[in-house]
Amino acid sequence: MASIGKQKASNLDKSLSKGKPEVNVATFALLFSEIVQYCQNRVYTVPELQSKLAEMGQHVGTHLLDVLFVREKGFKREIKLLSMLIFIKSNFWKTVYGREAEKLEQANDDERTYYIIEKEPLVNRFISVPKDKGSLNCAAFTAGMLEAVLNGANFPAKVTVHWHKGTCFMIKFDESVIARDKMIDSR
Amino acid sequence: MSNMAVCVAVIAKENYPLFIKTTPTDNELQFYYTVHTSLDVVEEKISSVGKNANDLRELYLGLLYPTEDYKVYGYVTNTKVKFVVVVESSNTSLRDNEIRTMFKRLHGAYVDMLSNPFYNPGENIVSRKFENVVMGMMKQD
Repeated sequence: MASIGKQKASNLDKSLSKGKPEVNVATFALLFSEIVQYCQNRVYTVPELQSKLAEMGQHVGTHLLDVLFVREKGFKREIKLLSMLIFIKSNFWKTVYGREAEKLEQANDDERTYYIIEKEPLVNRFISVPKDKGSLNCAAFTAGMLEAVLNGANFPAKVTVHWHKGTCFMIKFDESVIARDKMIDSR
Repeated sequence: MSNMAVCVAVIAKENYPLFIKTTPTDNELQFYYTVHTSLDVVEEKISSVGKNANDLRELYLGLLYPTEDYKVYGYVTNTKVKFVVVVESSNTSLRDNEIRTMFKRLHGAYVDMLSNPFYNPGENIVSRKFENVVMGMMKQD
């Protein structure tokens, strides 16, 4: 029996590699284009279309949140605002889009507001906005996902999407979140 | 050998039950009361008074309270969904570690169930697979 233990570890003994759960960008683009068309056919105005997209994103977000936390956080919850934002910037973005978000910034004049800025988000890569829909940004879908993740993890926030240095997700946290974060920090 | 757990409950963020399973006894209702009572203790444990940040990050809450016949353990996920497990006090083979493992399995099953796109968070849990995991935790060894 002892000799078996000494043998070189075979492939069977190694743990399975995680692999790369990647999806073709073409497949994704087709699916997302269908989502946008589906929403477009059911609304009349641009803001309505954005909120419809956000609503669909929220479904994704709520289902993704728990899975991500179990996989990446090792049975711990996140209670600090900044660590949560960094979790979104790195872990969350990596899982969803295969890379980290480009920039995470805090607004100069408001501690409740944070920005995640992406020059060219994946969802917008194949979308050229028609002239008559000037302000439309289909990344509203991602904004919905972010909102669901933050709300689910007990950081109530509103996430909106804007055109600014590319696409900018504006995250505005509830007053209570900032108050709680200060309380935790003071300890 | 006695039972593993006698009652397993999943409680939503807003404190209404999503799933509750008990071993068949005459007084099932008693378990509902026990679980309901434990929610106050859960609330107390996750409120941030007088603990350091590291304790607050832990999902497993430990023993909530013992009664004469039962011990009640609690666990809260990052989305504030609560798991409550009731075991018999006479069962000495279940130590803290075993309970912790049990909760991790339960959390895993919950997450698997949540990944189903047809399940909306906040609905009652009717998944057969989830129920099987719970049954596995309650069956006689």
